[in-house]
Amino acid sequence: MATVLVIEDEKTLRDNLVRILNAQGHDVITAADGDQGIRHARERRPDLVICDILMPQVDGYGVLAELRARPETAAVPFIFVTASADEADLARGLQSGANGYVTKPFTIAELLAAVRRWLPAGQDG
Amino acid sequence: MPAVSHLEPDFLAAALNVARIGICFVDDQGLFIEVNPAFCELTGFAREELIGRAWTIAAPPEAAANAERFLRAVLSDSARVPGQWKIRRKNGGMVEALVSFRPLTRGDGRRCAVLTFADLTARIAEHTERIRRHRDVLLGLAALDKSDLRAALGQILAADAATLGIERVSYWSLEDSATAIRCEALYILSRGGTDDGFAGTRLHAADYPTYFSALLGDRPIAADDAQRDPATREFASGYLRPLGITSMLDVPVWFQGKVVGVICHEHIGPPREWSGEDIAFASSAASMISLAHEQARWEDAMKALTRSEEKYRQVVENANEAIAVVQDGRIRYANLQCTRLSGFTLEELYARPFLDFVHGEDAPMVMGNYLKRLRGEDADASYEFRIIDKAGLTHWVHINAVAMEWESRPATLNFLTDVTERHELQENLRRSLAEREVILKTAPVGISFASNRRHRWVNDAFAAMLGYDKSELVGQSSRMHFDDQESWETFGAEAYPVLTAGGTYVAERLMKRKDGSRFWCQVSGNAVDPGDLARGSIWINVDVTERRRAEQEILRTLEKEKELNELKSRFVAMTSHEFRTPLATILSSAELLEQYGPRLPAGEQQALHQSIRAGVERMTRMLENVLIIGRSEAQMLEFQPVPTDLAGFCGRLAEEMKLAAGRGHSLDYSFEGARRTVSVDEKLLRHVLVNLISNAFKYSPPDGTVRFRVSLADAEAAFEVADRGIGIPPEDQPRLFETFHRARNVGNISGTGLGLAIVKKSLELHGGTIRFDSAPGRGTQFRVTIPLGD
Repeated sequence: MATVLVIEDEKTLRDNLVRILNAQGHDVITAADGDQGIRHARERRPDLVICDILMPQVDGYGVLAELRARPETAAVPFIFVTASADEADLARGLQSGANGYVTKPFTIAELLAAVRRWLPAGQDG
Repeated sequence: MPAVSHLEPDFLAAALNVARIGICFVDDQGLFIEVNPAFCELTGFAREELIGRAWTIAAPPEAAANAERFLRAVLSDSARVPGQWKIRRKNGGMVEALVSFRPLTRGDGRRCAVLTFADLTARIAEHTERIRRHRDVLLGLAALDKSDLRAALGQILAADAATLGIERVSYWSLEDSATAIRCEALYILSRGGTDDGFAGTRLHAADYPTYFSALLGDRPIAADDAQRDPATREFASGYLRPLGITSMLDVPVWFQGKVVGVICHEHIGPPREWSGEDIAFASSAASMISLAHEQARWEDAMKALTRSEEKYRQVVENANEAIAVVQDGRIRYANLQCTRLSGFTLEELYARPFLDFVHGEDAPMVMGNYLKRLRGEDADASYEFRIIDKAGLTHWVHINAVAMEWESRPATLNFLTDVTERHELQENLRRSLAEREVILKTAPVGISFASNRRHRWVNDAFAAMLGYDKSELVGQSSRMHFDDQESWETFGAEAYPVLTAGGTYVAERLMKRKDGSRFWCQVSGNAVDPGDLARGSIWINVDVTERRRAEQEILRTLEKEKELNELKSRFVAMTSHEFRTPLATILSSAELLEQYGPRLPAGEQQALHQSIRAGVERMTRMLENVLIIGRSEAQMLEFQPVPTDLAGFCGRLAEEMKLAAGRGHSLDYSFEGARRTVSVDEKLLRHVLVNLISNAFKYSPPDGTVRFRVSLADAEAAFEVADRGIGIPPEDQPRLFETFHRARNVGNISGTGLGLAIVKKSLELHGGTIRFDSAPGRGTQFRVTIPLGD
């Protein structure tokens, strides 16, 4: 069992992410924007962060940079979920220190494969 | 008279008898008392025929009264002077005699007179002979060929010496300044020739002032006693005495009104008393020398004339110009060059009317000029025409013609030069100049020739591009095309060093037209002579307004293309993002229903189905938006107004938007005006309002309020949508309604860039307007009006 932070401004998609992760037995914390996401990450110390890139205010890159900058959140596995299929964006995401990258639209299997890969052993569902 | 009384009376009688002169005694009654044989011989009368007769018998009848008066004067002792008396001989002849007389008193106290008559006939004859001889000599000298002055001088001096019997006769020329005389020739009678050694001797006026002044006094100097005569005694010691000269007769020689020399007669031997004849002869000899001068001069002139005539003939014959004399329409004289020019022989030239040689087209003009010239009217003295040579070729000739007399009748003297080559060159030059002139005049570029920064020549195009008349530009400073003195000076300071270096100065600059408007002009200048700018410079001016416009057009097009490319990639990115997000929802919802559907609570299942539907609707809207833009750009968007209750329509729309608003956004809606039905295209109006309101939400902070006001007036409906969002940067405002254009400050806020473009297109169909007022960070207010046609 693990605690997963989902940062996604699109409510319906956020809800679906919660449903998918809950179904795997994970605790899910949600945030509708970057700031909220950073706050939850610090306070709740999730085991994994799933974050959208394009968001109002602080975007996904901002969130990642912020988490990596703090010792308590620096090591948290971080997966981008993005609508951009651009290879340049993919490269940028990975260079910025993200652990995984899932492009929209994604199948449940794809998402869970990424989650399983980056969750500490024994914590995946 | 010595007393004779102591002689025997017979002695006296014997003396009377032998005397060779006629002696007669006449009493106080004028009667002969006694005559001697010589008197009888002189008169031709016998002694008996005379004694007791009146003495007037021996006088000419017309002189009888004179004879009586004369006798009375003699008797009264009042007649003194012996004189020449004409005696009438018995046979009626006359004898010239020299008469002497003396009154006597007889023993009875009565007066009488003795008269002697010396016969002058012989002396007169001798005198006459001498005169004749003088005359013959002079005639001889007159007939003498005096063309050779020196030869003539020798002959004149020889004849003079021989005639007058003078040892030394010389001719001296007076030097021009009259300060000296120079011996030209000296004839020595005893030697029978000239003393050439003496010629060249000079006597100076300074040494013989008296002689020179006498000489210039223009009268002959006749010095019987030369060594004492005031005029000649200056020569006595140094000249006369050594040479034994006793008498001198010097006569000036005149020529052309002045004394040019002197003929000198120097007599050696007993002093000689110069007679009138001597002087007259010497004067004649002097005249002969004058004549010799005259003839020699004439001779020289004639020789010179002959020489110069020959010279002119040579000149004319060999002149490089063709020279022809035309009279009566024919060539009367032609030089060699005429034959070379025409190819005709002289005979051929002389044989035909001169007009035959002239080109047919020029013949009337040439003939006209010829006739005018002959009549003494004004005619072109110098012109050009064509001739046809023997080979039939045309030559251009230049003619200089003057009227003249040829063998005492009117003619023309013509100088002709073949100018064919020059003419062809000129023609070529003229043609090429004309071509160039045309090129320069009609060139579409403005051309100006300037010196000292002033226009000296401009072509039409130059004047036209500046809006001036050419005459307004020539002489003017180029300053007039510049905005101010400084820019003009700067231009000069940049351009002229390039010109001086022999380069072409090229620049693009704004030029001012006459009307003050400006245009871009490419100006290029070259110095005519880089070493001497004063010779001017040529400036080519090209109006590059069009080119620059085209360039800018191209730049704009390129910019637009670049923008389009950006838009395209933005569209791709937009569609990618905007479609992938609902697709992600749809896909995940569908999978959740698939995998967990039956186990999910009914509410959850419904929410998942709903999210699929919402995602599809969202995608459909976006597709619609893209289609609307596509249709509108293809002019295929339809405008279908229908009667609409505007308040009801707007109220429903406001509710709809309120429901769709997320993140705590609220909509403050109000409607003003009477509720009525107006004619609008609901679909289009919906596009307008939905886009404006959803944009307002999208760019507002969370919890922000959007104001939506509708006011319905008689003629129009106004819609106002205002937010306090991020605002629109001024740089983006002008392009706000362009397709896919999104303001630079949108950040990660998703959007298609289609909304406002659709608003604009929709309003255009409605004939409506849209304005906005926006400041970054403070918000934006859009105001839309739609006219309400009846």
